Amino acid sequence: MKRVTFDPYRCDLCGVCSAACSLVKTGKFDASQSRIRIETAGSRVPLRAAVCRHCEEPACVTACMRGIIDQDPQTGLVTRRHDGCFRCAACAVSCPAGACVLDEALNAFTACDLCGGDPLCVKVCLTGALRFEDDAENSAHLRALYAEKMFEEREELPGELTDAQWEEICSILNAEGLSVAPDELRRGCR
Amino acid sequence: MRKTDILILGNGAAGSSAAFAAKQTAPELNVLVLSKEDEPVYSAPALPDLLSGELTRAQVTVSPWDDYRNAGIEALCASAVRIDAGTRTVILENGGEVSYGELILATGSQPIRLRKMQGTGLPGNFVMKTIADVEDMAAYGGSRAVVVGSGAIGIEGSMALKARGFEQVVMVEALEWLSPKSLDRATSDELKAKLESFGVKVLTGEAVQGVLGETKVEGVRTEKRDIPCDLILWGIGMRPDTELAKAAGIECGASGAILTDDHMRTNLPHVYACGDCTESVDVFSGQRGAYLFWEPARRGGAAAGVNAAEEGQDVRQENRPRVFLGTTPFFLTNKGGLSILAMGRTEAQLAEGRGTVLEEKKDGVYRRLLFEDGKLAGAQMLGTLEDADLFAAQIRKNAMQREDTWDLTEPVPNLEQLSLQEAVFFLRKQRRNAFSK
Ligand SMILES: Cc1cc2nc3c(=O)[nH]c(=O)nc-3n(C[C@H](O)[C@H](O)[C@H](O)COP(=O)(O)OP(=O)(O)OC[C@H]3O[C@@H](n4cnc5c(N)ncnc54)[C@H](O)[C@@H]3O)c2cc1C
Ligand code: SF4
Ligand code: SF4
Repeated sequence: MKRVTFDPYRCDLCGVCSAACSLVKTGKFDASQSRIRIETAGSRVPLRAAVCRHCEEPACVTACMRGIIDQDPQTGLVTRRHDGCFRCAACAVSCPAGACVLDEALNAFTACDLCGGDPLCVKVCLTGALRFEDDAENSAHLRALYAEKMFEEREELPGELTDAQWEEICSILNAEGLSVAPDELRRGCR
Repeated sequence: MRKTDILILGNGAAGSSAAFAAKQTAPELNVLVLSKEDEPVYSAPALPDLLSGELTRAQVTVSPWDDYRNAGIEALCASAVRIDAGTRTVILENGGEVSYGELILATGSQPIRLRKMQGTGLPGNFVMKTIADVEDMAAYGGSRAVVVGSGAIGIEGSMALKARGFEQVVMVEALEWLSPKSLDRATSDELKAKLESFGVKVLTGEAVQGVLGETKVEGVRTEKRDIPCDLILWGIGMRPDTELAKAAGIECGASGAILTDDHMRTNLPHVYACGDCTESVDVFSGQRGAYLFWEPARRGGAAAGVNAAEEGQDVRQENRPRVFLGTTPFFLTNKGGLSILAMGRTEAQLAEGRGTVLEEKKDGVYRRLLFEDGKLAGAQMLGTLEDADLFAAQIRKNAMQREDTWDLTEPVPNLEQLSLQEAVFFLRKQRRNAFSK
């Protein structure tokens, strides 16, 4: 199955993935509502993307105290019936990816649904840090990373997006029916 | 005599998981689940919300009867009184007999009751284990409650009674602080302040000596005072229900719960066990014991169901059995503005002279991390769930001492000089390195 993967060596911490996610899922910019979060250790060094991995043996499914998280036996996709959620947070605590988010409007915990198979965060990630790839590519990619970066700490600090890049992202969002001006987007990414 | 391929004793979290997993694995086998309660599987952890009135009966149901029917699972409200493993038969209280190909014990646990203490048989004494318990308590009414015990049920029960509109809710704990098996005193102090801000009065270091009242509960007598009340909620623990198993010669561990291998098999052929009635390894401490939690009951139940079904089908040789490797006992409450999460060892459980404790209190959030030899061994937090996955993974790795080298953790250097936040950053970086290396 295809999953969202993350290469911390490419990430510029621009925040576009979280901004776009919150916009498409909740209609406004609010990183706390994003289903993807880039973790740092206080500095400007990206470490990990906390996002649902649609695990083969999902801990959230057995942890859910209402039994409302299901795994599709055919596709492997992990889905939620939000209206039953009583916000016990058992899924959030059990998830090894730190992927569960309390959605204020739904009043329920939720996680990345891969946008139905075409995740917006990956589309708007211009650095290529986020990818949407199947397991084989995914592990090849990780192995390449391993060979390349074995003992290396990332040295160069992330860069800034150029004006042209901000525009490009806006046009990607526009194509999705989300009309946003570059300034608005920039503010949303902070 | 009724004949079944797979017979499951218990229709709780574990038994129902086993039933659905068995039927999915081997649709041609017939699966029967027995329960003392005439209820489809429901969420015991949601019972406090049923008590507070926030959830309805239908909302605490996990799988309605229709799901059983659609899956082709039969369910019967009947109490089993004896297992005859020699003839592979279970005898019911009503005299009926059911024969089985494979048997799965999922008899769960029972609340501890102090039957010998004076007054504990009077009306007004309640426990919180089943839907019926909650409905009885709600029907009984009153406005003043005493909650005995400060574990998860004591805490959530107190909050629920308060939310239900009780004027007085007093929590009484005999030990020196709240949930001492899971929390250190400092965390307990924070929690106590939080509970009191919700209007729950908390008394610690005060053992209950008796129940006052002639014909019904009128109060509770502790070592220090008499507390008038209309009802008492006893939350002093649950005990694995293993009577049937022991009588049938099924081996139990030191904890008193049923021993299984990691395929959920007991010492008797064709008999499996799962859920609250079984012993397991706590992956946060490496210790064996009876850990009564929802998630392992669901996961262990599914493993027992799959494995029993495959044994019933005789496909065991082809398929690797489903394994169950242990329990992740999260002490977790997240409701009504109260969020508590604790995992791993407490300060008292750290090896002497080798522990370091870091704590942080900021913006209404309290965090406490416990290290042994520089490696994370426990975490306690109030008001946040951040980094729960990081702490859980670190504590598990350190406790289980896995030798798969990419996964090993390193001690945090100069721990004594670090703030809690700096230590968390170190752990995050270490995880990143383990992942991308
Ligand atoms: C109020 C409350 C709050 C909780 N909160 C949490 C929480 O926050 N987090 C967490 O992880 N866990 C929590 N738990 C614990 C969790 O609910 C249990 O660990 C889990 O439900 C155990 O499931 P089980 O199927 O093993 O046992 P049980 O739910 O005890 O089910 C046992 C079943 O066996 C049947 N049975 C027993 N004996 C017989 C017999 N002789 N014949 C026929 N049937 C029989 C019973 O009728 C029942 O159907 C809570 C529990 C309670 C009561
Ligand atoms: S929410 Fe977490 S546990 Fe569940 S499938 Fe996603 S990553 Fe796995
Ligand atoms: S928070 Fe909601 S989705 Fe998560 S385990 Fe609890 S009920 Fe299930």
